[in-house]
Amino acid sequence: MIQSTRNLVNSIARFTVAFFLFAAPVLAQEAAKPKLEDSPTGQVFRWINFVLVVVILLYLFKGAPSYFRGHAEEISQKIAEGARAREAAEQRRAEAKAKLATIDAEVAKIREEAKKALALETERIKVQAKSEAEMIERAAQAEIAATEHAARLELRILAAKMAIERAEALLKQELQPKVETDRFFNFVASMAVLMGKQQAKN
Amino acid sequence: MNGAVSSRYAAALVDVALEQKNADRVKSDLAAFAEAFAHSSDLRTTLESPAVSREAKLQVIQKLGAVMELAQAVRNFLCVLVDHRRTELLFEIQDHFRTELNARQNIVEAVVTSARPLSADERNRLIKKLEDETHKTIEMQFHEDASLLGGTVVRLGSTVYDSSVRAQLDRMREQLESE
Repeated sequence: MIQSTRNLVNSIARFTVAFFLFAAPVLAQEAAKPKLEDSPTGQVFRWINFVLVVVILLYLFKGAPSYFRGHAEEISQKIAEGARAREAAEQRRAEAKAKLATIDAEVAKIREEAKKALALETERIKVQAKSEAEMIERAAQAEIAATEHAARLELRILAAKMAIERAEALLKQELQPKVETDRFFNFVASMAVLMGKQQAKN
Repeated sequence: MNGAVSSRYAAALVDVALEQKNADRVKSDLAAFAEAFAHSSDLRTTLESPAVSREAKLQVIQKLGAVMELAQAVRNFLCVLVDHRRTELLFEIQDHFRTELNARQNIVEAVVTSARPLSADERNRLIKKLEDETHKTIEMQFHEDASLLGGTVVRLGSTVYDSSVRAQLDRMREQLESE
């Protein structure tokens, strides 16, 4: 755009200079008195003046054909680009139209897939929750069994301790010196058997 | 290693004691010196310290031997230990000596623990029974332990014969707990 404006300004400037160059001798001829110009010297200067004007005009308009040619090419390029852009836009518009035509089906498809995925995820979570619940139940049952076993063991130990304490108290009452003496001699008498057993074990 | 060394020293002392026919005295004197050695840190320091000269150590043994009236065999043996710097093995040697002497004299040591004091008759009958069964002389020590409640525990060498009420109750408790 800026380049085009600059070219236009240049063209106007050149045209203005050419106009003044053409118009200046005519105006000067009308204003002058017919004396020197009609002489041979005046004729010579007039030709020199003409040659100078021609040279200057040639110099000024030397680049004009190439400029107009370039300008025409630029315009044709821009027209081609515009056509291409229009074609692309048309193509995009057609695609968008085609998409719009199938968008309902696409939305329905996506909705259906989302429903299926949701159902699958729900099922997976249900299975996982069930599995974890079973695992927790098993762990709880094992813990209950262990606690029960420990409690039973503790109870047995307590019962045994109480029974022994009771037996010990009774024995303290029952173990009279006579009984002890009898027990001692029985033990002495059984030494042979005990030592025989020990030797057999060794 | 130390066990073998101690055993050799003990065997040598047993040889001397039996040869001089005063094994019992050597045994009791060695035990008395070992007790003094165990209870007196000064004596241990003196006899084990490398800073104390050999002569000084021997003098200490001779003086202590005279005061305690130790048998000459024991004094000589202690001097040998000092010469060979083996005084730290005294307790091990004493144990080996007792074992070796008992073995050579056909003696078995027995420890009897009872809930009540045993009468002389009970003691004698027990000793006789054990001697009959082992065919050895029984050297017996008696102890009392009321926690046994009743009955007797006899330790013969490394074997224990336990007829105490406490042991029977313990066995009963273990059985009740395991059922």
